[in-house]
Amino acid sequence: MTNRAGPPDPVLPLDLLADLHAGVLDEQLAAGLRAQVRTDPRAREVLAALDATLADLRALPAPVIPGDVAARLDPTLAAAVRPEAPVADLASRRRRTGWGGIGLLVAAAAAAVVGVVALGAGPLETAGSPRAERPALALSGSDVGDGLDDALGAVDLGPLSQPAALRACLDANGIPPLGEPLGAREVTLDGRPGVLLVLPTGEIAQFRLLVVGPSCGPGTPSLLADDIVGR
Amino acid sequence: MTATGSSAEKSDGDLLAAHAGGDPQAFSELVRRHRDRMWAVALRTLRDPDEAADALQEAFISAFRAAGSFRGQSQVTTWLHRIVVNACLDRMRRRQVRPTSPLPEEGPGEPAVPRDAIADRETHLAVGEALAQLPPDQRATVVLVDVQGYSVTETAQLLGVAEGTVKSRCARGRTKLAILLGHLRNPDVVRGVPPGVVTASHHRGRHHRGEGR
Repeated sequence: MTNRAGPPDPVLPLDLLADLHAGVLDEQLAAGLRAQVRTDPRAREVLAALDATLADLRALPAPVIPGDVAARLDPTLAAAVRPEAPVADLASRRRRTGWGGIGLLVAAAAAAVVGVVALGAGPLETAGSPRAERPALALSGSDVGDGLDDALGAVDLGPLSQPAALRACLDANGIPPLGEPLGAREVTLDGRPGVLLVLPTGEIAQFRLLVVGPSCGPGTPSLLADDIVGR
Repeated sequence: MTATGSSAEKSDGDLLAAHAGGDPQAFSELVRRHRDRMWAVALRTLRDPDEAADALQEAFISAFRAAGSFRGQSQVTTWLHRIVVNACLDRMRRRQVRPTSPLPEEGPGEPAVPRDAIADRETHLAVGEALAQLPPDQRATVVLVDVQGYSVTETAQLLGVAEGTVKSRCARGRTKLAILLGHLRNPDVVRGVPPGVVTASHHRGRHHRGEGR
């Protein structure tokens, strides 16, 4: 088949005809080509073939999303904002990349962004960019919730910056591994230095705020405040 | 939260803003509105229903989380499409997605077809298989323009490429499809370059100048 007799007349290149068909060419060139095509049956065949191809593509039936796929979309989105399994998966993946406990925080905080806005608590924080050094946030014991905006998504752990120190402190306070903080901020609570930890509760837009003192560690909860906020 | 009753009249932009503002129903409504179209794009691009379902999930989660970064310079649908198409392209590039089984055009989710449409169905299968032969960028472009019916301008926006690139990809993709589908039986016949008429390099030069406008 490779040695078939060539056409008696030269014809336009296939790519050029396809460009003409797809409107790639500028109008002047296209007009000249169209005039040529009119006298070239092979070129007309090519254009007809491209038209037929277009017709085939346009005739493809529009698929309707299968029920099970549609059903999977919403629960997935719901799970994406819940600080349970999916976040833990994401977090453990991040942890392996070497971010350690901070990566865990950042991953969890990314999932909690929705929680922030759900409270109507100001602009979206982009989690993952620890802020520059700031003075400790002054809180009073009666208004620990005031620290939520500032702490969510922040990675300001102060004396608990080492992942092991953070974990030991969380253990001392009975926080399970899947309850990793969604944010942290150095604070003073009624003048006493501490770290505000934002913990998930399993409820969207509801958080547990823990304030622990600098001595929080193995066997020492050093708990200064423990509040639920949101909803 | 009494706002959900009026979500039917809200624009996509309103819904996205409501979602970013904490309305827990707003994003679900956006998903409901657009999932069929997004599914069509994902399925036609990836072909494999499981891959398409995963890509769609991924895309909606990305959109859900990135809603706060939507700045309204483009349509919400364009923005969503871009996320879906990117999720599909990522998948295709990550693992060379190959069609493992024919796409059940008549399966659940496809409109019922009359029994005498068996020939049509075979054509559709063939078209789907032919599409799967195109390289990812070409396939995504042809799917958007020729299957989904988006304009060249819209497609260029949501793929983030020039309109000339969209047209070129369509031209190349349609040519391959025309051959694969048997509409163009003797491509060798038309390969010859006409002496003195117009050469490929000539036409390329014109083409690029045309694109710059």
